[in-house]
Formats: sequence, C-alpha cells, structure tokens
Amino acid sequence: MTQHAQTTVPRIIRIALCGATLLFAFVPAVLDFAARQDTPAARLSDFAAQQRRNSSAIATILGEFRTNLSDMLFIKTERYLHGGVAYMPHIDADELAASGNIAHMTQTGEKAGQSDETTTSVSIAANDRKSSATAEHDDHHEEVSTLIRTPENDFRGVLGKLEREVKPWRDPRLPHEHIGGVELLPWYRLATLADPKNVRAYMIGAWWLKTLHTQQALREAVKFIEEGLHHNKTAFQLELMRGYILRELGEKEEAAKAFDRAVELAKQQRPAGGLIGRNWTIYNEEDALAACTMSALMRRELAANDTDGIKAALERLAMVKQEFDNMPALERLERSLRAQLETASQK
Amino acid sequence: MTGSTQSVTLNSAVGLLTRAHFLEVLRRREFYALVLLMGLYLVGALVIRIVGVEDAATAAFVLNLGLSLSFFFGHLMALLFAVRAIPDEIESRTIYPVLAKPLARHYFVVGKWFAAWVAGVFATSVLLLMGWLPAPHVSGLAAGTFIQALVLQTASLALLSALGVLLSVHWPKSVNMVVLIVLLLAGHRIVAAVRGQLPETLVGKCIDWLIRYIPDFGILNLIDRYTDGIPPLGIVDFSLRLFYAVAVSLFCLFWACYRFYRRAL
Repeated sequence: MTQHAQTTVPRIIRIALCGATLLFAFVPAVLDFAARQDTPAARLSDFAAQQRRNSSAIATILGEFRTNLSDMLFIKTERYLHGGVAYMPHIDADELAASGNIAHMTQTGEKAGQSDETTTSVSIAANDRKSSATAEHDDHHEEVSTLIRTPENDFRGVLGKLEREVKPWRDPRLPHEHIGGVELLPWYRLATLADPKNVRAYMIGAWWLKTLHTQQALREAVKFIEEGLHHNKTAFQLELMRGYILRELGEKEEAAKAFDRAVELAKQQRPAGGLIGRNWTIYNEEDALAACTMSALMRRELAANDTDGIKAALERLAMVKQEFDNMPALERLERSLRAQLETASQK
Repeated sequence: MTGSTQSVTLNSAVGLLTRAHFLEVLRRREFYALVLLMGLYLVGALVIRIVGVEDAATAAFVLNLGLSLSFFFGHLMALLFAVRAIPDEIESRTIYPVLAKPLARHYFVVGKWFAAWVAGVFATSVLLLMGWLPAPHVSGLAAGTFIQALVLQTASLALLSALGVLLSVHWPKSVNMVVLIVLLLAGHRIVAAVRGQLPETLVGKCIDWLIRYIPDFGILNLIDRYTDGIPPLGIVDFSLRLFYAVAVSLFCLFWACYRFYRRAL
C-alpha cells in the first residue's frame, strides 16, 4: 500500500518542462556548432606531446596506468610488436611501424627527407619489403632497457631470475625481435573506433595492411584510410597515405590526385616558412615534403616517356615551390631532376 | 506576492534539504575514502617533487593526473549522492514526513539535486587542492583555460547530479550507478565510435542526430587542453558548451520533477 498516490503536476513544472525540452531539442545542433569551433590540435593528435609523455620517467613508473586510452593502446601495440617483451617507453611508433632500420620516418611511415627522385621511390619499396616479414633489425640497433632488469642489475637474485623465466624477456643488448605488425591491426582498429580523430592510428593501420601486398589488403587499406578521411577531412597525411596505397594498387591517376589533394591541404595548414611549433610539428613538415615530392614525381610516372615525365615533374615542382617557401629539399629534388633531364636529352 | 512567497519557500526548502544532505556527506565514509585515495596521489606527487622532475612533459603528466583524479572523484561523489538521494529516502520511509510538511514534490527533487551538486563541488574543491598544489610547476599553461575548465567541470557536476536524480526516479540504484559511470568515463568515446560507423544515409543521419542527445561529459572536460598548454576556448565555443550543460541539466531536472509527481510513493 502506498502512502502517497501520484499527484497532479503543477502548471509551473509543465511550463518549465516544455521550455527545457525546447532547449534540449537544440542540443545536437549546439554540439555540431561547438565541434566546428574547436580548431587547435587536441592532446590525442599531438604526436610530439605523446612522445614526450611516453619517454618520461613518471610514465615508466606508472606503467600502464594512464589517463589516456590512446596512450595505453600504443603501449600495447609496442609490446605486441616486441613479442610481449616490455621495454622502457621509447615509443616511436612510426619507426616501429616500418620495422626499424631507417633513420627517421614520417608520420605516414614513408621515408622522408629523401629529396631525390630515385631514393624516394626505391626507399618506399625497400621499406615495404623490410616491414612485411618478421624482421629482426640487427643493424642500426639501439639499446633500450627492459622493464624487467637484466641479471647484472637485478638485486632480487633468484626472484628476478624467476620473473625473467616466467615473463617475456629478452636481453636488451640483443636486437629487438619484431613480430608481424599485422597482428596489431585489431588494436589500430580499436584505437580508431575509440577515437575517430586518431589520425596516426589510421595511418599506421593502413601502413601495415599495405605491407601485406595483396589486392584485398590494399583495398582494405584504402577503405580504412577513406574512413579516416571521412572523420578527418583536413588530415593531409591520410591523403598522402591514400596516394601511396593507390600507387601500389596501380591506380596511378587516382594516386596523383590524392597526392595533389594532400599538397592542397598541407598548404592550407602550413605556417609561413614551415615554422615548427605546436600546431605544425617536424612530422607535419616531413609529410608535407613527402606530399610535394610525390605530387611532382607522379607526373613523371604518368607521362608517356621519361623526358616528358621529367619536364612535367619539374613543372609541377615549380608550382609547388611557389606555395611552400623554405623547403630546401624541393630545391635538391629540382636539381636532381634537371640533371636527369640533361642525361636523358643527351641520350 | 504569491511568486515571492513561493520563492522564499523554495529557497528555504532547498536550503534545508541541502543542509541535511551535506551533513550526510560528512557523515558517510565515501568522502573520506576518496580523500584517502587522493592522498595516495598526494604522497606520490610530493615524492616526485622531492626527487625532481626531468622535463616539462613529465610535470604536465603529473599535473594532468592530479586534476583528472580530483575532478573524477568529485564527480563520483556527486553521482553517489544523486543516485541514492531519492531511493534511500523512499526505502527508509523518511520521505513521508518530509512530504507531509507539506512540501511540493518538485522542491524535494530540486533540493536533492542541489545537495548532490553542492556535495560534488565541495568534494572537488577539497580534492582539487590535494591534486593541484603538490603537482610540479608547469610553465606555459593558460590560466584562462584553467578557469574555463573549472567552470565547465562545475557545470558538468550539475549535469551529472541532474541526470542521477532523473534516472533514480526510474531505475534501481545499482543500474543507475553503472550507467552513469560508463557515461562519465567512456560515454564520449562510445558515442564517437557509434557515430563513426553510421552510414551517410538519411536514416544514418537521423540516428546520428538522436545519438547526440546522449549526455556527453567529454566536451565539458578541458583538463587535457589545459595541461597541454592549449589557449582558452573562444567565447562562442565556451558559451555553447556551457549552454549545453545548462540545457541538459534543466531538461533532466524538470523531467525528474515531472516524473516524480506522476509516481506513486
């Protein structure tokens, strides 16, 4: 038995509820408008900030207790990549994504700063081959401590030995063993599901798919990248990666268009002189350079003969150079192309 | 005249309920448990300060952790009190003498919401001191962003309390608590993930529109923005977010009042 039955709702509450419902009806529009207002890069997309966080001592002490889901996912991917061995945070996921032995990778996973035409196209293929297998990169190996101490530095004696036996561990002096990054794909999928604005997860996921070198995987990679572009319409790195994948698929005209779009988007975002700062990192600059380079070089690939191709590439390069000031690598590419044009003319 | 009398009655009713509820906050163990948990951070942060912080990113990380924990625990406090306020009164039958005063039912709901909000703000303030003061100094942070973060988190507490009170009229405490914790911690990500998978069709767009009615606490959280040294939001953006919190809170609150009238006790 109830002591208080339902009662009539006072008029003031009805009116207030109507007013509040009216306000509430506009909530999706307000969210949409607010999303358009917030332009500065958020924490997740700030790659440099993430790198700094992951390399800090506190990040080591706190291990996986992070406030950021994306950070945790990256730590997981790195650990899987090393066959379960926990190394001290030193994440350069881009280098890892390409399985190492390259001095520096752009965010797209392609080698940057290689301004001359031959090295650019050759290095892409070389990187692909390297990353496709369970590569053990013993050249250019850099020693990174493991979370579990080495026998020499472990005061725990038999307990330490036990931990090294029962947990995945590898002597840090030995080269890291990288397992196939394809196994990481679900993590990148999860990362993009958790945050569709995570451009890097889209890029690295697509990169690993690309390394499978099958039509189906490449199509999947294009689909993945296009999903990323749907959520991040101004991410020129995604257009750049899309161009690389389409190029591998043999769709060179589409690839050229993707590189051109990447150039256009990069142009809109790049500060004057390519000044490195919070919103324009060294990685952005390198990706912009890669986009400019590929945009020019695709003209060469599309041309009927090499001489016409080089001329077309030089023409495109001249246009790009006008829009991207203070990019010395483009000058070098121009010199290299001119030299090749002379050689081709002499023949 | 009537309006003025009613206003005084509302104020005094809400004031009394809030006072009673606030005393309960101090009597309950949850608040002290949260203070103890925050104490763990405090000890850690002090140790880090003594040992020394090697770079700005680490300092920002510690500060982020402190602020995130204090705001999260503050929200947890508001949530615990909001979801239990009405069901506990009904279970212990103390609601009947209160409503027999006579007290309008909406005063009771508003009082409970306000009390949960105040409890959340109080807990956040205490925990914030523990989370902020011992954190290492980070240069290049925008004070404006911090102020905006504080205002939006206060609005977020009001929203969470209103939602908790509304759901407590409909659902059992435990279900309500789980739903709200999921919404608070992962709602933003879940909504983003679902929205990301919707097709570009009319139906997809309609679903997308409807999904945005799910309360999103993520847009009211500027802590990462602050600790990353990003400048304050533009006035329009900030006002929109505040409007969002107010609109959803008011809707939840009045809907809770309406449903509470329609409910047999």
